[in-house]
Amino acid sequence: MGLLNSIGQGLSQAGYAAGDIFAKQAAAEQSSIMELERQKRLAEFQAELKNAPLKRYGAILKDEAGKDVTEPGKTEVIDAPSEFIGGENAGIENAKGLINTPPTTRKRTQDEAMTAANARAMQDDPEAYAEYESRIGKPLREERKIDEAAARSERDAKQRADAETRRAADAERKDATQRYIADLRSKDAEKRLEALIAKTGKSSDGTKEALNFIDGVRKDLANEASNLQRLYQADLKDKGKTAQAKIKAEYDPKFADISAKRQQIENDFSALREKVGLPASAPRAPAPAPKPAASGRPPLDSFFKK
Amino acid sequence: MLKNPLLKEAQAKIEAGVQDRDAFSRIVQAGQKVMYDQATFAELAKGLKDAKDPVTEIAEGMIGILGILYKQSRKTMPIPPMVLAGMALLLDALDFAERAGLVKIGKAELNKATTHYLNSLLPKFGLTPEKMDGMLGQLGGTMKDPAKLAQIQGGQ
Repeated sequence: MGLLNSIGQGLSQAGYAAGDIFAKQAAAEQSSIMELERQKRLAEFQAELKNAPLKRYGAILKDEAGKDVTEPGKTEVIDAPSEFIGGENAGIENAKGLINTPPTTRKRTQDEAMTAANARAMQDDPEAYAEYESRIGKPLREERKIDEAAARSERDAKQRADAETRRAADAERKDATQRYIADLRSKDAEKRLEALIAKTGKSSDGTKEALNFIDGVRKDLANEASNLQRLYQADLKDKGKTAQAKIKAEYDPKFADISAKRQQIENDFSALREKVGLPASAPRAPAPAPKPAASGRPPLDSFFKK
Repeated sequence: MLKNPLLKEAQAKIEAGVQDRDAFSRIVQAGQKVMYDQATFAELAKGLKDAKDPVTEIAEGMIGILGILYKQSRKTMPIPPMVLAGMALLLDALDFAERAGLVKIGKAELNKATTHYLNSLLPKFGLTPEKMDGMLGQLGGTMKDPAKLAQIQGGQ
């Protein structure tokens, strides 16, 4: 019996010990589950705290965006027919008056709401404003700057390309002008014009383009003549008679050359105009008639010996 | 589990004074379950992050959690281990708040939290430090003696 008791007692103690082990195991498991949950909540809470200022800024922005803006009414001066007046002075009298339109109310625009929210956050919640600035405001401005720089760069590149195209076209025109002027030495005007028409012609036979071209060359030569004249006058200034004679001798061939070229071009221009059925050269305005003397007497030059 | 050495030390002292260890452990586990439950935590976090005084808010939160547990036990929960378990949960929550970056816990903050906790909790159960004397044994004596209380709170 004593043995059985001892065995029973032993088994009972073993059972308690096993129960204790299981209980400790369960508590440890529970504890590790709790620790895991705690870690999760900690991560969530840290993220929430990090976003809290921005959320507060968002709440301010939402509040400001919901506000209305009242714009004052406009006062307009009118000057309009107002009244019909009968009797002797029958007619409509114009009256001046004022039209007062009432103030209008509208919702804030996004930009207005942002401006208002920034001002409010700066004063009431600097932390929220700082968070907005660092996470949205500044990057947004940087992004805009990059976009603007890209647009500017694209615009500059296009301008450069356009300028280059213009320069090339100018160079080509100048080159063609020079070639044409050089060709003027040729006596065979017909051949020269044919070549010019063939060169300038695109879709049509090229006569019109050739006319435009020659017209351009005429203007260039006129400018050249005018420039040469200016240079000549400048060189002559304050010079003695001998020096002036020398300068004149120097310039005369140049003037003669330009004059010959201009004459040749005029001829070409007329020839081309005739070719397309127009009068040889554009009619010039008649020279103004000499003004009669104020007293009605004949002009002075009529007394000169002829 | 706790990172803050001051809180760790205070927790060790509280646990050393526990007589009904089983009840104490069960209440702490149940409290943590409530505290870190997603839905409950969302509510606690809401109050916490907008709080002007997070330390007092945490102590209030612990009293709320103990209230829930006490109600769920149909008021059968033994008071002495409950008060100590609440204190352990409070230390846990303070450590949590510090790790989240919400508040820095030093001796002053710990003192403020435990004082607020005990001063608010005891009257709710119709208790006074004198009545707690017999119930809590060592802790009761400690609560009556400011020097000893400071020792627990300060971890000295």
